[in-house]
Amino acid sequence: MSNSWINRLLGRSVPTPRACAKERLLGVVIEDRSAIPSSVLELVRLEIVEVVKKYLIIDEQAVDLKLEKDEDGTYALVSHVVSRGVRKKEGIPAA
Amino acid sequence: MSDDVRVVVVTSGKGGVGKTTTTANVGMALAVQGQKVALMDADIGLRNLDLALGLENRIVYDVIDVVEGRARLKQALIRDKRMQNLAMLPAAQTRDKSAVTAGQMKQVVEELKEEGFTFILIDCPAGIEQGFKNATAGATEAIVVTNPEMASVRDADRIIGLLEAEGLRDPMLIVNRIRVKMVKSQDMLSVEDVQEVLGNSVKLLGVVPDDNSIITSTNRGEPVALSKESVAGQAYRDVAMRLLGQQVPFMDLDERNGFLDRFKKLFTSK
Ligand SMILES: Nc1ncnc2c1ncn2[C@@H]1O[C@H](COP(=O)(O)OP(=O)(O)OP(=O)(O)O)[C@@H](O)[C@H]1O
Ligand SMILES: [Mg+2]
Repeated sequence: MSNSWINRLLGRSVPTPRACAKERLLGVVIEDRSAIPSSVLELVRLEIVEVVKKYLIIDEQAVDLKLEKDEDGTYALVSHVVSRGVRKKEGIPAA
Repeated sequence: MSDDVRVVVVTSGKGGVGKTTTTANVGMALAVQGQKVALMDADIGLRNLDLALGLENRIVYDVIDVVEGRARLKQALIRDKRMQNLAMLPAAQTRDKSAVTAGQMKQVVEELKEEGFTFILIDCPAGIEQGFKNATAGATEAIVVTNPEMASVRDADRIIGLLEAEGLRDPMLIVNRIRVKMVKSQDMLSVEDVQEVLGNSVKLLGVVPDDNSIITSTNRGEPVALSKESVAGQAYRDVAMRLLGQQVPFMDLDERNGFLDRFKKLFTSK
């Protein structure tokens, strides 16, 4: 049984088991089809973190990388980065 | 003409999702519709279709005996006593998948086509190796069975890719063991969710509820498709009609609007 009503009562929004399953499946299935192993994706993600970190203030978990399927059937690498600002450092222009 | 014979492989990737149950029941429902149906158990070494049909005591020869020339196809085929136009070709139980090649399996299918059947359903073993290749070798259409559950849907997606590689495009989908209450409470994937994940190359052929009557009828050796009261039985009969090209609406599996309720309404409205 789900605890969703308890969470709703407490004002928490927790994805339902059904939503979790769908979201996770869409992720693995697209990886299976693209034949790009998730380990490779993770290596790419970690390296993106290193590059972005040089210029922006970020949490490592704030960089997310996934495969998405484009309309024309090709795969796109889509990254989502949450930044808390520009690093103040020599060589980086101030805002 | 033997070119009109429909040869359909029933497959899934993951084990235990209901391939054998589907083969037995869709086969039976097609036979009830007057089709001449042959069911071939391609799960060499793990024979089960005989149990689902209640024909286990009548086996003399199996598909490997036919391939290796110890028996003629006609001798190995078992006619169902309830339904004369239904026959089963058993798998060998004491051999394994390597005892036969895809070419030989295809040859058996070709011979079955010459026997005057209108439908040949092939019960595929779980997995993606030799057994899968053997079972798909002679088929021209594919049914993919899945449960509304993560591993099963993922494997179904893999199988759809492999079927395409074998030239079996646009497979038909059966979502088996759906529990409407769990879907409503947002605890289980819905049929639409499964379709969305698998993409629109698959066409929905059937939705079968998780139903105790499947277990009781399998225990009796009587396919549930023969039971008028069973909701799962009705779902399999609907699948058979859709295979025959009829537009059959998908049943409302919601218990509150379901069979029982319609019954009650019938009685209370008068
Ligand atoms: N809709 C259903 N409701 C309840 N039980 C079911 C349903 N479908 C299948 N079962 C049960 O699930 C079990 C596995 O079914 P079945 O043998 O048809 O699966 P399978 O895909 O052929 O397995 P395998 O991969 O081992 O060949 C059986 O005990 C069967 O009775
Ligand atoms: Mg089976």
